[in-house]
Amino acid sequence: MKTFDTAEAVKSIAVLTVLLGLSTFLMIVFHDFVESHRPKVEESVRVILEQVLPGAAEFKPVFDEQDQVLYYEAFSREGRKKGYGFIFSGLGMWGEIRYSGGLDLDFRLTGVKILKQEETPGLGSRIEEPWFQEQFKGLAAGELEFTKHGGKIDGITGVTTTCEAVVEAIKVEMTRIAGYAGG
Amino acid sequence: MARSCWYEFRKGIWGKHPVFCLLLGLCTTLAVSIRVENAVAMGIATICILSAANTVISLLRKAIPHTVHLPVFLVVIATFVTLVEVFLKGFLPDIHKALGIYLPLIVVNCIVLARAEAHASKHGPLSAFLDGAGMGTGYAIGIVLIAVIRETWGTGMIVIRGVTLLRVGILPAEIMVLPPGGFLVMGLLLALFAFLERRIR
Amino acid sequence: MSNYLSIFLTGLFLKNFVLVMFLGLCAFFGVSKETKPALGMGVTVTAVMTFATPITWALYHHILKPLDLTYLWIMTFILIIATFVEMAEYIIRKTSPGLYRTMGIYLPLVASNCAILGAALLNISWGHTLAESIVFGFSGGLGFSLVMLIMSGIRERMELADVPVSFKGAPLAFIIGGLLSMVFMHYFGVFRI
Repeated sequence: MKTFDTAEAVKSIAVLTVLLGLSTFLMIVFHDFVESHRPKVEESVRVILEQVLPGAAEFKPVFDEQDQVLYYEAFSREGRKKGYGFIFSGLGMWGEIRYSGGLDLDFRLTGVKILKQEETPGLGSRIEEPWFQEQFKGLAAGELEFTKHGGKIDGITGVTTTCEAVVEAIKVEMTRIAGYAGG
Repeated sequence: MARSCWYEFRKGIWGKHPVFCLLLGLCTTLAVSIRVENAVAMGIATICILSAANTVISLLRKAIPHTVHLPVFLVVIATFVTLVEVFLKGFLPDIHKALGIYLPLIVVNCIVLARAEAHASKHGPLSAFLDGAGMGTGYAIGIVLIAVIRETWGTGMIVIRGVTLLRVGILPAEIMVLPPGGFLVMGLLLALFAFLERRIR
Repeated sequence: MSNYLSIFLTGLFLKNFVLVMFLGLCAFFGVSKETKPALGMGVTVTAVMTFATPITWALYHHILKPLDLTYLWIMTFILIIATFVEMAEYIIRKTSPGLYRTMGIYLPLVASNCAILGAALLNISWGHTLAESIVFGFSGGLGFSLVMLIMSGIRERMELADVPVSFKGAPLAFIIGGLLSMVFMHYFGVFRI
């Protein structure tokens, strides 16, 4: 049986506590130092997101446990959080469609941009037209519905599949981010 | 009479090699030896952590009550490992991703704990530092050696930071860059060293 | 349900902690010469791992993440694991001397065993839920025990075999490990569901 020496026990606990306190302090300080000095997001990402998040100057990626980017947080020049940004790819009718978009703090869209698409020229490719992308501004995920179903988004005649894919993709992404960020 | 500084350092590379002689730190060695690039990063990280932790533990050695010596070691080592992880995540994220969970596992890396127990807690800071640096360097050489073999045999070339350093005209054996390859290369190397050692005698 | 089964089989075979994820190798090569200690080690590791993964999961998701302190995971995990093992050793010693004789001596070794911490870290990085963590820890421990058992059986036989001198001992163990690794990775792939 271990003999219990009070003096040694107290000393043990004291040493451990002091040591733990010092290390934790050191780690937190170093972490903050690294955070403030590490290279910011790549230029290309910044350029893309600035277009859909007017007024935002800084973007910070939020990672999951496997170091993949979940979404970006957007900050004003003064450091105040302005909202969220996303860049992702989804499936269109003929190929991949790459989206970028911004959300304000209430998870309403501040803008949407189709970066790349491989849809039918003259038909599906019309989703790149400014008026189509403009309509998404100010809408919340729940409001992403076509006018023919009582919502606010005008589809493009004869381009049902692609338009539905776009709306669905954006809606899913918005909900996903709201889930992570809204908490 | 204290052993010479050079001895303290070089014994980790020749004579008491942590990986090939003492068979310590196997987990990280075999896991991160798939690519030379990652092996080098792991090696450097280990040298830093081992030297730093050894030095600090040596400085503290008189103040540590015996009952808590293991938690104290763990706290010191974990602090340095965390500092390295935070640094890599901020400034070299692709390396951080490549090392994965094996960087945090340096905390329970047998080498680090064994050196803390066997040497750092019983010797002065300079000796402890050299011991750590030497063992770390020996480890780094070991893991890079295994990685060179595995990457060359398994892919036919060595690529570091996107630059192809070496290209060998063989038919690559993909098994070498998979887990079994790690075991096999290690076994073959150990057999080779045993053979050489007997020859030298 | 199939999700739990898939995690169980993955931890046990496909991503076996010893042969594929390279965890717990020091124990694997050190304690696998004879079957009895190998079994004792295996049981101990399984028991500790089954508790360690959910406990560290809860620590990570309920304390570290909300406070944005995830980078402290290494320190907190290893301390929790070490504390848990200490407490377990104390409790076992007091309540069951028989159990202590089987498991007790391995407990201190297990605390600093990379397998336990490795399992906890993998668990987080593969994004499991709390319930999945328990299954994962248990299957990982079982996988470890299975491998220890197989290895000790083979090594006991190999003691009597005619092996080239250079290969005797450690080198042979590694080669056997390599072959086992191939089996666990690919042959058991039939379980991929």
